[in-house]
Amino acid sequence: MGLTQTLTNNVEEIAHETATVLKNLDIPLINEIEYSDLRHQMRELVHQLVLAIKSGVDEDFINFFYDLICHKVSEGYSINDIQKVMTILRDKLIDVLEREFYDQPDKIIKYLKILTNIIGESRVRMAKVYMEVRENTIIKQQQALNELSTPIIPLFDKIVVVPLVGTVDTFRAKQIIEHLLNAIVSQQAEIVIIDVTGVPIIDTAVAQNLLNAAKASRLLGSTCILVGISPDMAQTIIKLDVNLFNEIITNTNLKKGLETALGMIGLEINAMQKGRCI
Amino acid sequence: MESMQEINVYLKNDFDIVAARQAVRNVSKSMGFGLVDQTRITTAISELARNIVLYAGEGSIYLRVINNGLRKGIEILASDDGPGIVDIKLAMQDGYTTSRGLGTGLPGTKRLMDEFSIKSSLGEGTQVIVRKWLR
Amino acid sequence: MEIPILKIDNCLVVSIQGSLSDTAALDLQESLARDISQQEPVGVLVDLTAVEIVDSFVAKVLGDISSMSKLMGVDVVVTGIQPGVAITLIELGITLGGILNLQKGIDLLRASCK
Repeated sequence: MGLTQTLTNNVEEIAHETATVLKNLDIPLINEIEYSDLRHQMRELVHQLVLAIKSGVDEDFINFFYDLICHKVSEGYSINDIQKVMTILRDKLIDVLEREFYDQPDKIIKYLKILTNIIGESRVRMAKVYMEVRENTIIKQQQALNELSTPIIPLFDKIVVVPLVGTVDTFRAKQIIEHLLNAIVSQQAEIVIIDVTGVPIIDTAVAQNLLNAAKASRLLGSTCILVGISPDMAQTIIKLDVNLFNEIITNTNLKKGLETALGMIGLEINAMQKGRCI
Repeated sequence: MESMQEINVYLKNDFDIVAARQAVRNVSKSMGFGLVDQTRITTAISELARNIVLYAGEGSIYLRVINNGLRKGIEILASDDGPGIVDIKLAMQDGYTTSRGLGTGLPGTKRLMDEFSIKSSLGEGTQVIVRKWLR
Repeated sequence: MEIPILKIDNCLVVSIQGSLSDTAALDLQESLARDISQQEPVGVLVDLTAVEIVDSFVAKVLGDISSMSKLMGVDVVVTGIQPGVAITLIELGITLGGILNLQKGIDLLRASCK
């Protein structure tokens, strides 16, 4: 009896025992699966391995693992969980080999080689697909994040406000600068107020980017006012070797920034006369 | 695949620099780069092309569309058989120039692109490879 | 291809179009120097609205034009830099001083004409 035949004959036992071991591992996601479903999945896995032993690593094999991993990742399995399943299955398959061919050690060695090869190949496939799926997710998330672009708010004639929220990395900073410059041109803005109240950390890179934003704005004929630097942040910035304040006007908060901006274009806010209030 | 994936521009004088710029602008535009990235790439190539004309006299710009499986990108190889760069570290410093330029060519180009590598040996010439990926 | 230098009121106006070759940039610098000394304007306005790329060479020529004019007692206002060009210049590490949008540039020159 050959290897594939032996595996096929014992498929029910293999499926049953691996499913049972998996159930006892206490992996939450596996606990949620019905035993019969899990057993069915294991049966399917063995079936694929048998096919791969017969016909080698072909397109069907690759596609099977592609679909399987895509599915498992979307369910939330980690690569560890997936590898654990393969380890348990491998151990069970080796048990079966040992039992069925106990009197033919040369066959055990031969089949063991085939088996480890095919399981190794499966694992490589799985890891590869896993990486691909994850990378795609990351790219999608990045795109989603890009779409949540920073709004450029026209606050008053010739004044725009850019409220920055969250971590500003170099890529995001570059996008913000692009948006900002386009807004300066399209809205004929003379003053740009950048509000960093919502930025948790300003490191050298972010400071450099803010500086670049200010310089680029100046090339378009606008002035930058930076507002909302927290006391902690101020302490950090002075330790960084960035000459931020020579290039940008800074104000404590948006309110002060608005007053400065209005002052620069010759306007101020005054109380209305009595009786004219709405 | 689309056509026009590879272009080679021979550089001898400053009109060729303009031609190189236009070629790279067209390719980056057709690939779907935004206006700002087009400008970054075009400016970077202008710097590399000028370095060739200025220091080596002649050389070429070879550009092609690349794909790393996840993203498309543009790759530009600027090569010449000129005198080579004596001290690459120095040449990569802002403000360093042996001509009457601003000394921002190489370090600036590096900042404009995503990837930058330079190889130069005295008497044999210089090769610069830059890449920018489509986001 | 020579870049035209127009005289409007007491000002010289240069509008650069398209891709500027190194020779054309240097030619512009030379003809501006000549025109400034011959026509004695109060200011020079260089408009870059139609310029798609300014690399370090062109930036240097613009800077040279500016300091050369100052030596001859004339202010230069550069206007109309495109957003992409502005970002690229900053990333290249080039700072050009005294740059404005076209409207402001005209206002400034008007004021100095009076």
